[in-house]
Amino acid sequence: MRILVIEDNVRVGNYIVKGLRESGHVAEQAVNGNEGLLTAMKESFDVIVVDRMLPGIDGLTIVKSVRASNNPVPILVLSALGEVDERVKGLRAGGDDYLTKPFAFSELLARIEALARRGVTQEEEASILEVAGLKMDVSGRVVSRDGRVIELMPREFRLLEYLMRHAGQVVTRTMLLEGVWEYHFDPQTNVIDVHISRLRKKVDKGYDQSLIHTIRGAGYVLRAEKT
Amino acid sequence: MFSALRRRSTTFRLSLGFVGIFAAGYVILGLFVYLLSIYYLYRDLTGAIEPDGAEMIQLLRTRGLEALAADIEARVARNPDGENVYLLVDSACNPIAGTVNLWPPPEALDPACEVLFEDAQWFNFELDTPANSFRGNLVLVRLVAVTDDHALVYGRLANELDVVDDIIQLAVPLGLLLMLALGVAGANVMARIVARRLERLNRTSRQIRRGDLSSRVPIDGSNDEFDRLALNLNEMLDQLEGLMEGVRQVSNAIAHDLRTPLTMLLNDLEELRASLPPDSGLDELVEHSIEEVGRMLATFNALLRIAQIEAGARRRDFESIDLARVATDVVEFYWPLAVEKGVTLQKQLTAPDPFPGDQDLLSQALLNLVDNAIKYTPPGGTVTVGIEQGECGPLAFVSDTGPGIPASEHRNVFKRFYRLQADRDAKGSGLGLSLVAAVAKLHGAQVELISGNPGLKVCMEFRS
Repeated sequence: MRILVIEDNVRVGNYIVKGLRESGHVAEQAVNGNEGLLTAMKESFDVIVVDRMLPGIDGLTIVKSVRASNNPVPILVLSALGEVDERVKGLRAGGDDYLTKPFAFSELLARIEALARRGVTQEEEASILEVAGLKMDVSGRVVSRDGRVIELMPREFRLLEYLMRHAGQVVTRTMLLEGVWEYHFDPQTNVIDVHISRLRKKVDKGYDQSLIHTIRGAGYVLRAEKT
Repeated sequence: MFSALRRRSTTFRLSLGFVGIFAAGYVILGLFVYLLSIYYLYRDLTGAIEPDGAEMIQLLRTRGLEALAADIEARVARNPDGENVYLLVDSACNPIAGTVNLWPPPEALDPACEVLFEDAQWFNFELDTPANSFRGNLVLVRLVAVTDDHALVYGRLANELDVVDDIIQLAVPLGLLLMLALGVAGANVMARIVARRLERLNRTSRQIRRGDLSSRVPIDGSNDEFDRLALNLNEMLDQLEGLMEGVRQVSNAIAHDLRTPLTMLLNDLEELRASLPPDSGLDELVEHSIEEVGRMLATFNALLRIAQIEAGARRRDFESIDLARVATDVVEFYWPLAVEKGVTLQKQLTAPDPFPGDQDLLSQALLNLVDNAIKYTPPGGTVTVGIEQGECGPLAFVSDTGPGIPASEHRNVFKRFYRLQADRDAKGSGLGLSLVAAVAKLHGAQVELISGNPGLKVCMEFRS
C-alpha cells in the first residue's frame, strides 16, 4: 500500500513511517501542511494519515481540499486533542477515522489497514457475509456455520458482524469498542476479551478450524487460518 | 408575617428590638404630653376664675357677708350660660346662696368638707346630671372659708379637662398600636432586603460547594458593607481558584509530557517482544514491562481525561440522553465479567425524562461504578444498576452487596488517587470515582454514597 504521512513532529513522523515500511507498506512523509497538500493532490495513495495541527495549512483544511477535488482516498486524522467535538470536526471535514495521540503503533496500523480495505470495497455494505463456512445474514439476523445455526445475543451478533466485515484484518480492542459498543473511551478492563472468548465458544467450539484468533499486543482477527 | 424564616432572622429580631425601644419612648412622651396638657389647662382655668374670687373676698372684708350674698346673686344673674360657679356654703358645706345646682350633696365631696375648710384648695367633682349639654358635668372649684361658718366657692364647669383626658387616652394607645404595626412591617421588609443581599452570597457559596469554582458573588457597585464583603470573598475565591488551577496544571503538564515518551517506550517494547527469539527466556520480563507501561499510560490518560471533563468544554456537545438506554448498554457490556466472577448483575430500570448530557461520559461513569461494584462484591453477591425518576430529575444508582465503605471515607473516595486503607494493593488507578465525580459535576448532578446493609449504593441525581 502507498501511504502518505503528513506529520510535523519529526520523531513521531519517522516512527510511523518506519513502522509502516517494516509492515511492508510504501510510506511517504510530509512535514508541513503545504508540502502535504501538494503531495496528496499530485500523487495517488491508498491511505493518507494527517495530523490535525500543522504549521502552514491546517490538517482539517487538507482533508477538505482533498475531498473538494473529488478524491475518495481514505484519510485518518491524528490529533493530540481527544475531545469529542474535535473527533466530530475531523470526521465532518471528510476524515474517515480519527485517532488520538499518543497511540500504539499496532492501533494505527490496524486502522490504516481497515481503512484501505474500505477504500477498495466502496460498494454498499453487503447483507450476506461469509468466511470459510461461517455465514451471516445481516438483515435476517441469522448466523450459521457449515449449515448449523448459531444462536447469538444481539451484541454478540454485532461483534461477530464487525469481525466478519473486517475478516482477515487485525481489529484492536479500541476499534471494537468504537464499532460495536460506540464507546469512545478506554474502559480499562478486559471485558472485550471476555466477550470475545464467549463468542469464540459459540463460533469455534467443536470445529477443527478456529476462525477467531488473538493477535498478541494488537487485538483480534477473524480468518480461516492458512497453514 | 411571623414566618419561621423571619423568626430566625437576626435583622428581623434587631428591628423588632428597635421597635420596642421606640414604643417605650413613645409611651413616655405620651405621658409627658398628657400631664403637661392637663397642667396648662388647669392653670388657665384657675387663672381665669381667680380674679373673681379675689374680688368677692375683698368685698366680704370691706362690706360684710350680706353684701357678698347680694354680689353672688348678681353674678349668677349675669352668668346666663351657667358656666361659672358662685356659691356661699355653710360649715357643713350645704349651699346657702348662688349656683346651688352646680354643687353636689355635701357627703359626696372629696376631699371631705372639714378638709376643704382647713385649707383653700382647688378640687373637682362630677355632677350627677349634666349642667348643660355643651359643658358636661365636670366642675372645677375652690372653696375658701370666709368666716367660721361660711365659705365661698368659686369655679367653673371644666369639661375641657375631661375631653383632653379622653382624647389623649385614646390617641396614645392608638398611635402605639399603629407604630407597632408599622414597626413589625418595617422589620419584615428590612429582614427581606438583607436576606436578599445575603442570598447572593449563599447562592455563590452553594455553587462553589457544588464544585463550580469560577462562580463569584455579584457586585452592585454601591460599595456598601455587603458589596465590600462580596469583593473580599471574590478576591479570596480568585486566590483559591488560582491555587487549585496551579496544582491541576502541574499534574496535567506532567501527565501530558510523559504520555508521548511512554507511548514511544511502549511501542519499542512491543517491537522488542515481536523480535525476541523464541527461546530467549525474556518473554515474561518484556510482557511484564509492557503491562506496567500500559498501566502508567492508562493512569495518565485517565488523569487527562478528567482534566478535559472538568474544563467543561464538552457541555457544548450535549445531546438528549435516554439514561435507561445508557444503563442497558452498560449492563450488557459488563455482564460477561460478572458471570465470570459469579456475581449477579441486574437492572432495575424505569424510563426517566430525557435530559441534555454526554452519552460517552455518562456511559463511562456508570461503567466505572459497575466495575467498582463487581470488583468489591464477593462471588454469589448481587450488583444492581437502577434508573428511576427522582424528585428533581433522573436518578441513576449502582448498588452492591460487598463490604461497603465506612461513612467516614465517603467524602474522600472521589479524590484523585485516593484508596481505602484496606485496598492499597488492589490494582486500578484510584481515578475511577474521580472521573464519576467530574462527569457528575459537568452534568450538574449530585453524587451520593449510601451505606447499604450490607454493601454500598452510589446515587447520581440529575436535575432535568
